[in-house]
This record gives sequence, structure tokens and C-alpha cells, in this order.
Amino acid sequence: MQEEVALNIQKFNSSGLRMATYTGSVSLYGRDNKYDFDLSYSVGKASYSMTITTEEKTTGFWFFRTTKTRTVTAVKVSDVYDFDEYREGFTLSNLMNNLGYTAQTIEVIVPFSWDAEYTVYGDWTKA
Amino acid sequence: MKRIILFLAVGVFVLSFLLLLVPSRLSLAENQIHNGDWEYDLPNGYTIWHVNSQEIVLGHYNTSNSISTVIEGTILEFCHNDDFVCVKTNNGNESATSQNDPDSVCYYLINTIDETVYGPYTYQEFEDSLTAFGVNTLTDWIATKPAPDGATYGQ
Repeated sequence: MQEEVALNIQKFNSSGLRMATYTGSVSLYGRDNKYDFDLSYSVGKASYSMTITTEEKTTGFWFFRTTKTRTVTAVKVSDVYDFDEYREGFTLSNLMNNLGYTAQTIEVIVPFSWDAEYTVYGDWTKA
Repeated sequence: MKRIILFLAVGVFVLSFLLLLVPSRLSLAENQIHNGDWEYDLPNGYTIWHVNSQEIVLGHYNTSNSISTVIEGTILEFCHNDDFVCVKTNNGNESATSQNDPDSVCYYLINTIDETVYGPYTYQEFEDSLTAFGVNTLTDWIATKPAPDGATYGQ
């Protein structure tokens, strides 16, 4: 997600806006997580929304007054964990998927939504 | 004698376990794992992503691992040519299909060259816009369930 956060902050900075929300989806089995089998196998793709705002602080007084700004990025990643498709073919992935699909069909397991929220603070820079 | 039989039985069990485990780890290492989320690439950086059963979205690649959402919700079917992508979404109605009622779904037309999104349209409005924009030689409608031929999993 770090790459997506950096990319959207770049978009935000060039937009001139004081607040903006960006939505998209991320694939958690890309280069960054190539060896994170747990994340890639359990989540795969997930949706995200990022609300970026500019925070401002002023210190000092008179001639010594300095204003600094930083970006505050509120990230929300969400997904639904479910198995919606029976897959043909004898592979480990398909077997695992079909096990989940069957369990869901007979309501042994039920789909559930999850989300994770966190905030990324940028560095203070002089305005 | 019993000890030998027991030893052989344990040996066979361990060997079977290894035979099962090693190929599966190898296939994992070769990026064969996927959890059902797929992507179907379209012209000019556009792509259909199955994020989960409720979110089958049209997006535009930001990086090879992420997209900006262009059309959200559940895309039921799509078609395209080199310049345009057309999608049908369920308009938030989970039971909607274009087969049972063409007007229960929303239609969008996306110009992938100038990145303009037209819609949501009703079926008739969509047909009219195709004519107005001179869009032709589209592929047949491609359903998103089950995963279409050509979709790739977890690359």
C-alpha cells in the first residue's frame, strides 16, 4: 500500500486541493508481497479509499512566524471474504477454493466484510 | 517384527506427507496461488478486477498492483473495442441481470482514449449513445460470472 499512498499524495499535491478522496483497488500479491503468502492467499485484491488533507501549524510570532504544512492520509482498506465460484481443474488453489465454496454453499461458513483503517502523516514542510 | 512394521508405517506416512508438501510449496513458489480474485486487461491501461463477489470494478492501472476505480459496484458484463469499453452494472440491485430485465441494469460507455465516462444509461440511451459516438465492432458481451476466459489470477 505504501506505493499507492505515495502516488495519491503526489496527485493530491499537484491538484492544489486542501482535501481529496481517492478510491481504488490494490492487489496484495504483487512485487511488494511476493513472498507474503498469507496475505496474498487470504485477501488477494482489496478496495481502498484514501482521504488526504493538508494540516497546517504556525509557530513563533511577528518576523519569526513560520507556517508549516503536512499531509494527513486516512487510509481504509476493505474487502469481503467469500468464495463465490466453483473452479474446475485439479490444482491446490482450486481444491482450497472449492472447499471454501462448498462450505459456504452449505452455510458452514458465511461471507464476512472486514476493513482496516490507519493514518499516514507526512513530514512537516515550510509552506 | 511389530517394531519394523511400525517403523515402515511411520516412514510411509512421512514420505507421503513430504510428497504432498513439497510439490505444493513448489507451486506456491511459482506464484500459482490465488484466492479467486482475477483481472481481465482491456485496452489503454483499463482493466476489470474481481475484488470480491460484490465488487467487480472497472479501473485504470496506477501501478502494476493497483488501480483507480472508474466504475464501481458489480459489473455484470462488459464488451470493448480498441477505443471504447462498455459495462453493465447491477445498479446496487443484487438480483438484477440484463437477461431478466434490461432496464434493471445500468450501462456505461467509456472512451479509453480521452478517459471520459458516459452514463449511467438505460438500455435505450446506451444504444443511442453507441450510434451517436459511432461505436462499432465491439466484442460480444462478456459475463463476469464465472470468471471470463482470458482472466488472470494473482499475477
